[in-house]
Formats: sequence, C-alpha cells, structure tokens
Amino acid sequence: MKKQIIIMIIISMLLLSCIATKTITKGSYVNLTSNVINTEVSAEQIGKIRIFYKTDPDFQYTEIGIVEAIARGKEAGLEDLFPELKKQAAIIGSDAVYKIEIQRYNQTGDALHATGIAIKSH
Amino acid sequence: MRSKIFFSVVLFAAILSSMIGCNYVNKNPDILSQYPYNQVQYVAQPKAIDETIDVVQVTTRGLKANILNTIPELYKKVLEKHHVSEQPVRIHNISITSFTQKESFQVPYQHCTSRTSYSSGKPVITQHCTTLYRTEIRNVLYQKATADIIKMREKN
Repeated sequence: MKKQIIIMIIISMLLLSCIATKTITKGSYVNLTSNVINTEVSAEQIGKIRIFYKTDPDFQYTEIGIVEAIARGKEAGLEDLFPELKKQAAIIGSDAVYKIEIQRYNQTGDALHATGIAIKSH
Repeated sequence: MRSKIFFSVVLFAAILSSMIGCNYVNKNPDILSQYPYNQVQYVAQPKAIDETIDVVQVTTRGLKANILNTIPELYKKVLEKHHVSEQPVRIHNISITSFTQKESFQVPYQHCTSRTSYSSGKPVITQHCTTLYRTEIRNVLYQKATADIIKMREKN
C-alpha cells in the first residue's frame, strides 16, 4: 500500500512537471548551406553566439541558415526567445543571428515567435 | 500482482507523456538537402556577374507558419517557376518576416436546457442540448519568405 502511494505521488509529480512550467520554448533551424550539424551543443557554445537585434553585425559574414524560436505562455518574453535562437544557431555552427523578427500572437494560447538569419564570420 | 502490473503501466505512461510534454528538443529534418529541394542552390556570396532575374515569395498561415514549412514551400515555388533544365536554380538574399492578422473564428459550444415534469407524482428531468457557435477574435500568425533568383549575366 505504501509503495502504491509513493508511485502515485511520483506519477502526479511527473504529470504536473510540465503543466507547472509557465513557458514552453521550442526552436528549429533550416540549413541553407551544407553545414555540419552539432547534435549536442554546450552552454559555452551557445553563450558565444551573438545576437544582433535591430542592429547589423560589425563583421564580414555569410548567411548559412534560418533559425526560429517559439515561446508559449502568458509570461513568455525575449529572455525565452533569444537563448533558443542562440541554441539553434549553435547547432548549425553559426556565430551570430541577425535580422530578428518577433511577433506575439494568440492563435492557440499566447505565444511569442521569432525568426532570425544565422551567420558565420569570415 | 494485478495491481502491480497496473501501476507499472500507469507509471510508464506517465513517464512517456511527461517526456512528450516536455520535449524541448526539436529534431529538424535537414529537408533542404533532399530531393527536390536540393535542386535549389543557396548562394551566400553572389559574384559580380550574377544578376537578379526574379523575386519569389510565399506566405504561410496559422500552424503552418514556421520555417520548417515556409522555407520548403519557398523552395518549391522557386522550382515551379524556374527549374527548366538539370541545372540547379540559384537563389540569394532569403528574407523572412512574420506578421499577425486578427481573424474571427466560430467556436462551438453546448447550450443545454432542462425541464422537469412529473409522472405519477415523481419528478422526471429531461435535458435538451443544442450546439451553438460563438465568435472569437484571434491573432493569426503569418510568415512571409522571399528570395532572389540569380543567374549569371549573359555576355553581349
């Protein structure tokens, strides 16, 4: 009986773990050139990606892909989008993201949507 | 024993649904490297002899408004318009913009009424339900992608 109660608690915790999350973020990329895909990227690699929001890069670059991030939830903000854009950019081996476009909408619940062009420095 | 199996199944289902619900990792198919999309060649640095001969644009809407859908759609349109020989179509300067548009949706809901009648002194409740629709205004996401078609300038 005790065992069953513990199992029930674990089940409840697992099911609630996602509901309790205020914002769910997911991202994707489209590879425009034949870039090597990094299936696993470290926090350090993600941290190195530069974001140029409403500004242009200050170095010579080549466009290598398009990245996208969607954050769902009323509390969703840029702090959810930019890390996801950076993660996707790191996956395709770029150095920065620019031409970032952000839209908030409420199609099937509140969501924040961003796209950007992933670039690599020369 | 039976309850043990039941709990094991429920636990497995819970773990599975939790994994699906929390799935932040998006497996991106490298779709543009597959046929027919690989007949389009993205040129990051066009040469001076390249000239833009056309601009192709696509717009996707709603749940389809995401890059994994929009960019292949753009490539499809590029191929439809310009793929005439075995030569790949060269494109440059892809740009992607998003916008929202307010749209009205008809959302169904059940409207039920109940009536109490008496049969042999006992109350009998009968319920009648009809489906009605209410109008909801939502912001629908649109995604627009454009690309320049480039071709080597022909010598005079």
